[in-house]
Amino acid sequence: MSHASAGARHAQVRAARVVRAAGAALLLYSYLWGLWSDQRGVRLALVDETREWVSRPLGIGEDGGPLGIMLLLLASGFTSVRASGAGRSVRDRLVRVYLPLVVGAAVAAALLLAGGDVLAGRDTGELSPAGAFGDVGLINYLAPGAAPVLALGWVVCVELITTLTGAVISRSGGRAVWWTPLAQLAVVGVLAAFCDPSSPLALLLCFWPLAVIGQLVASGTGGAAPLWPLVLAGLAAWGLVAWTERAFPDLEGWWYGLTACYAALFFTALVRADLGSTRRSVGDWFASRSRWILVFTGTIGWALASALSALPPLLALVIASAATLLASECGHRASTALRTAPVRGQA
Amino acid sequence: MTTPTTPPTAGGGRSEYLHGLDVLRVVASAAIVYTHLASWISGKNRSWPIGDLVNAVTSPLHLRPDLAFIGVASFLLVSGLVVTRVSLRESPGEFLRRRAVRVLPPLWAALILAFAVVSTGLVREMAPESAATALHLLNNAWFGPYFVGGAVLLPVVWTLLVQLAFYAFTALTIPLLRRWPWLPSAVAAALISVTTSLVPQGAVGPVRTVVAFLPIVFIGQLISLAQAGRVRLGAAVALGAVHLLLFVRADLVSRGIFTPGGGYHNVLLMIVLLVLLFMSANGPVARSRWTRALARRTYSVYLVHMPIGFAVLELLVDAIGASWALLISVLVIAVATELFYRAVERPLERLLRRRRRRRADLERPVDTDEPTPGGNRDGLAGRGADAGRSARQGADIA
Repeated sequence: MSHASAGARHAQVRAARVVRAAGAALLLYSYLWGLWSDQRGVRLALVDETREWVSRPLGIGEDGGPLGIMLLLLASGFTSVRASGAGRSVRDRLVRVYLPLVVGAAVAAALLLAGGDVLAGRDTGELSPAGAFGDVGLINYLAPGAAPVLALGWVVCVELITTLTGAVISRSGGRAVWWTPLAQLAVVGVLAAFCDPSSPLALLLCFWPLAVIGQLVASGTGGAAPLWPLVLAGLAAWGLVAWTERAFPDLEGWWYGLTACYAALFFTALVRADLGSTRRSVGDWFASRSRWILVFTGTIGWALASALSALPPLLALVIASAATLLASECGHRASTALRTAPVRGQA
Repeated sequence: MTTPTTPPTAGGGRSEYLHGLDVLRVVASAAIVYTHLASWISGKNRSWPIGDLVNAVTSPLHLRPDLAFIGVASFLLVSGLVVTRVSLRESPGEFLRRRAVRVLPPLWAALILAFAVVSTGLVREMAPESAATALHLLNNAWFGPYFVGGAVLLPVVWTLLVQLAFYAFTALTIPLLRRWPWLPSAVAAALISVTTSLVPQGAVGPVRTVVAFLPIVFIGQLISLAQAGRVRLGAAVALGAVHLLLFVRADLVSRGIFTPGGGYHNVLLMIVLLVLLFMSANGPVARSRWTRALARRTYSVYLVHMPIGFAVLELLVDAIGASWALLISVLVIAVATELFYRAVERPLERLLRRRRRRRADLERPVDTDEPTPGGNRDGLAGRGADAGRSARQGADIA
């Protein structure tokens, strides 16, 4: 068991940021360009050709959206262990994860009040602005029959859990490196075995093991635990994804097991590789705004694309994407200012 | 793309031995043996619990039945990767000569073995008894069945055609590969695309098969060049994506090459990711003597497993059942592989090593015995045990 050098750890964190950036870009493409155009009956050559040449042959479903979410969760699991290990405040990290959900839910509610159109979850009924309270309280992602106004808010739920468990792994060390991921997998297994097949928890349970794999990779590449048991735990996590995919009828047929395999292999290969350059790039920009992109794609982007229906669809989507990215930039800057304000005040 | 453990060599590339690829080669050869033996059993409509279990466990990955194509994709990819490393330090003539010596004599020996087994009538799934004639043997020795027709004595040989096409192209483009490393794979992509368009779908001959699978070897080449720092990561990813799309296209527009049911492209992507992952593997398993020894025998396994394995299955399956017959078949394949390796492959390895050493002695400057910066005495890129092993890795895979 060897401890990774500071340089290697830095390269690994950078790789996780690249993965997070890829995840955010895939999310934006999948839900805005793929799903929105499908729901409007719009045919886009770019989307059609990508499906024909990439998605179908490789078995990547839903235009890569689930792959994007899985990459985000892998990076999140990894960072939750590394960031806590680097001495960053857990509270600060929780705020950083949770704030976009609050803002996103508020924006969704405002859009609904204004008669706008937002992305609805897979099995949700009539959306109401009051649903934002349930989103902020996270109840909408756990209770049967709820209608979250922020369809992808459940990803933030997993990230919040991961932030807490990552802090436990990193701060407790020792056996926590083992029991924390295994306990999470046990929880996923028990919940998936006993919860209602039509539960809104299905997606959350199916994707949660990816965050656990991210934590396992962080422990393995950081030299905190021997490799082979971690590999076995990672295989168990993948097995849970494959099993939950079968256990919940709504999830069957989306090939999440294969997608999870791609995501985990890509993430692990990249973290073990040396990406070299440390200069800031577009990837860094996407990585740091990823949660804002997650919440604004289905709200601001979706609503704007729908509102611009008089324009050619391609132009409407370009404008909607640009607006999503702009809003993400604003969200990121505002949250950074908010989080650093007390520090500046003390100084 | 991997963590640099040694400084760039005089040639501009990193040359450390990629121990992880040995693991992958061993796994790939096991997958190939498993695929053929399991297919034999399922072809006889026999129930086999282990096979059912393997198919059930891997079903979420939407692989082909019996782990098919995993081994072939791995070998082609690793071959492109490792042979590219070798090609950067050999002249075109030397490169071709060494590949030919590595590939052809063992193939001929395996064909004689296959001829003997086919003549017993025990392996009709592989070749009919009528194929065991001297004419067919000679025809197979130069890949004749793929060009002029006739019975194939050893069905796995088609993948060697893909590799030989790659070797020939690489030998021709070695000067380009050294000066503009990205160019040969770009030219290859254009040629593959044009050939796929021009050769009719139902055309007889190996051209369509070769161009369908060549992109896999070139993806290996690009991984190698990116890993050595000779091609920028972005360019390698872009060119690799083009080759992946060419492979997808081959499936979409070809008839009779790909078995219906899909599962080729997802396997290829998974193997690409696994290769990237295993390239940086450097643990005790990857570095173990056993892994190294098994990796050296993968070509022998590839050549002998089918005639030996099928014959044993045919002899035993009715008497002792599929599972036991399969177990004994694997043991007999292991023994036959070892004998084949010792009798055919190892003497060739020694011959090549002797010739390389002799040539190195002749090229060594007479006034000094000091190593050149970044290279060793025999002119190989890199220094030390890993550099020597790196050269052998290329030799092994070829």
